[in-house]
Amino acid sequence: MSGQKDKKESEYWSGIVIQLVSRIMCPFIIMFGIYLITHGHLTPGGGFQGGVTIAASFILFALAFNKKEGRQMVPSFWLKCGASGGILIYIGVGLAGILLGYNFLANKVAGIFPRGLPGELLSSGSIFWINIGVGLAVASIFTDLFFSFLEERPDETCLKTKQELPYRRRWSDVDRNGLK
Amino acid sequence: MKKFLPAILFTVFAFSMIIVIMGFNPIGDPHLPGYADFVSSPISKHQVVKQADSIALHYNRHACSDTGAMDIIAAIIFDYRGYDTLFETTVLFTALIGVLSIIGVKES
Repeated sequence: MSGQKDKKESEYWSGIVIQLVSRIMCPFIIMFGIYLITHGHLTPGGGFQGGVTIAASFILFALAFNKKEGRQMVPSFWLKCGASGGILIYIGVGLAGILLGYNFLANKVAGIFPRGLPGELLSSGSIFWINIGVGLAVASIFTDLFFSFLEERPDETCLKTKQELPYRRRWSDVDRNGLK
Repeated sequence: MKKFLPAILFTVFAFSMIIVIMGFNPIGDPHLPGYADFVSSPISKHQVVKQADSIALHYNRHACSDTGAMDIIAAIIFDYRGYDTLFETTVLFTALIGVLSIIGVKES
C-alpha cells in the first residue's frame, strides 16, 4: 500500500507539453512580477498585482508537475517567513517615521528614504519599500494558501478523535485522463 | 495579578482611544475638506460636480510633489491611504492564519 502511494505521489499531473511550456514561462512570469513590484510608483502596478503574479507562477509550476516538485521550489518555512517579513517591512517603514519624531508612515516630511527625481527607480521615498514589503507578503501568502489547500490533512493534525473519516477526493486521485 | 491584567490593559487602551477620539475633527463639521460646500449650500448638480472635481484636482496637482511618485494611484494607495493598505495586507495574513489553523501545518 505504501509503495503504491509513493508511486502515486511521484506521478506528474500534466502532459509533457504543459510541463515544457510552464518550465519555460515560469522565470519570465516571476521577472514580470518583480518588475511590477519595483516599478509600482512609476507605472501601473504595485505590490498586490506583482505579488499575485509571482504566486501564479509557483501555482502554475505545481499544477504542471506535482505537489512534491512544487514544494521543492517554495519550502513552507520560507513562505511563512516571507508572509510575516513583508508585513514587518511595512510596519518598520511606518515606525521609522515615529522614531524620527513624525507621524506613522510619514513620507516626505520625514525624509528618511531617498527621494530622487520623480521618474527614477529609487524615488518617492517610502512608497518603493512599502511596495516591496507588500509584494513579498502577498506572493508568500497566496502561494502558501494554495499549498495548504493542496496538502490538507485534517484527519491527522486537527481532529483529536481517532475515528475514521470518510475518504475525500484529493488532487493525487486526479489522473491525466480524469478521475480514477 | 493575572486576574487584573486584562482590566488594566483594557483601561489603558480605553483611555488612549478616548484621547485619540477627542482629537478628531467634529463629526459633520461643514468646514471639513470633503464636503464643505456640499453641506452649507443648497445642493445642485453643478455644485456636486465642482466639489468632486476639487479633490480630484488636488490629487492631480499635488500627488507628485507630495510623494515623489509618478503614478498617482501608487501615491494615493501607499501614501495618502497608507493605513488602508497596511490593514488590507493584514487581512490577507489573517486569512492565511485562519486556513492554517483549520487545515494544519505539515511538519517535516
